[in-house]
Amino acid sequence: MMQSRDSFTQFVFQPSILIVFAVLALAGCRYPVNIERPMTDMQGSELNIGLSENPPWVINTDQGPAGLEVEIIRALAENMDATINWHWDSEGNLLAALSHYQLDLVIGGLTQDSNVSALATPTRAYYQSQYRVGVPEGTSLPSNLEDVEVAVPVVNHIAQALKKEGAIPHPTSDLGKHNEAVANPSWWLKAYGYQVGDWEIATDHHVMALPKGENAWMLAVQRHLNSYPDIEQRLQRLEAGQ
Amino acid sequence: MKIRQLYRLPPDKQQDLNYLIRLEWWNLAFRISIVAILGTVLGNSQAMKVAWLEDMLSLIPPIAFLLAVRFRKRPPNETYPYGYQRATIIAFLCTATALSAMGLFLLGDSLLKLAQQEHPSIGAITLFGETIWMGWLMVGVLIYSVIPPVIIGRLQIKAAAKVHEKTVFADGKMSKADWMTGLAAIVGVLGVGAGFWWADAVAAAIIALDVTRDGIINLKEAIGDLLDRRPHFTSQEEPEYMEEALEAELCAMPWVAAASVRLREEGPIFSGEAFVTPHSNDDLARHLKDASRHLNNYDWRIYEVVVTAWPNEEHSLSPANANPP
Repeated sequence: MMQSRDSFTQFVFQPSILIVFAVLALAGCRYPVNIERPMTDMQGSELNIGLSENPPWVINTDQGPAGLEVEIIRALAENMDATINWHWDSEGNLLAALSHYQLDLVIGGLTQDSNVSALATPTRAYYQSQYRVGVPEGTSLPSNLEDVEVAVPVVNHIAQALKKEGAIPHPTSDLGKHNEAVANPSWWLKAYGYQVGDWEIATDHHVMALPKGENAWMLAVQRHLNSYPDIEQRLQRLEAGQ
Repeated sequence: MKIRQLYRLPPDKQQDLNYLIRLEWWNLAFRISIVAILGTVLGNSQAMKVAWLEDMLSLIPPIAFLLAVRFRKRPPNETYPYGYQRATIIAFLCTATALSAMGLFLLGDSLLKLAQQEHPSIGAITLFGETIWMGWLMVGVLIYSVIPPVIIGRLQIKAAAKVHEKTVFADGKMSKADWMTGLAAIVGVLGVGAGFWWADAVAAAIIALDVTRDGIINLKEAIGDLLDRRPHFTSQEEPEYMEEALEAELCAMPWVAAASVRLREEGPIFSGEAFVTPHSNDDLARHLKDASRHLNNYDWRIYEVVVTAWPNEEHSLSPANANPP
């Protein structure tokens, strides 16, 4: 028994250790490396970025793409001396293109979910949108949400969580125009001058999507995201500017 | 109803067993810490996933042993007149089945990942304000995950052989070999970092093979015990040949004309029957009882050998009966 173990070690493990160390020596400080597109190919070259509209993260303007994530990626490309080819499409098409290594990165206010991780690798959350309940300036916050009517966007994923708190969600198309309590991300509430309550209704974990296995690229994007400052203030400014 | 006496280890062996129990508690504590730490750095790596599941499965043998040792202390009773010695083997069989099934599942899963050419993502992690490649952290944790099992595995093998605890012995052998699966995972993670997408799935498949192999070895051991295989000593592949020794003991008694013995394993200890042909029927009942007592004290591993008298022609040939009357 031990005999076969030892020969197994000799024939399988020892060469593989040698190979790994040889590769490490060759790779030097460029570790990890990408599996499909080498970093040297991206540096000073073209980045293919997929984007789908989702203000204030990605905004389609007459002057081209804008929004928080567009700003972040522009800064990253500048650091890499790269130019950007923007590709507008639906989130589904973009993620599929990512899985076939046609794109380098996809943005569009993506949040952590299984759709993204099935076809791509999400970054770690670079920002968390906290859904809170706020009231217009000059109104006092209720002591609790029991039976309080709270305005929510018509398309939302927080109605259920609000009901759990005892509140009555009220889908409203022109949010912020009436004198009523609103549930929305804290940056939105602050942008419109709302007083923000302490109830944590929900949290969106914002990510960007990268192709699977592009580990050096992931490290570069993640480092850039982690060092990107003042995300909350930028979101408020973008929202207020709309 | 004749109920067995409770089996008692000799005092020095009881001390060895207490040491083994303490060792298993340490083993369990280290393994829980490994599972917890590995769980935090899994990432998307198949090799890490398989190594983690393997470490999770390795929690079962020490838990099973510690439970069985407690259970075994119960004296035999009206419902279980043969006692609870085999509790260990039930636990062992469950472990072995889980290992084999999980090993095969993980092997299939890893080969599927290989066939689909899935590119494993090993992302970045921010520690103390510094964003580093997660692979380095995985390698660090994997190195931690192999050191305690290798050390404890060596101690387990020695301690388990002293008290003939096959389940711990087998577990110790697995732990001792555990560094290879840890190394395979490290090679997989570093291989992915070097741009070889297949390194991860191949490493995972190797680990899964090892898990399956461990499972099958344990399954063989557990089934051997449940099928009343003749006793083997923990550290040896060969049978123990204690039957022949006991036959020689019996034949050395002046009233015995011929003797044959069969033994089986009941967890860590042996039981069986001795068939003796006496020269005459004088005092036979007393002779039989004395012979039984003598055999039960011959070796600490013998729990109970029942001695019965048989007519001569029923004996099979055995070296101890070379000169039948």
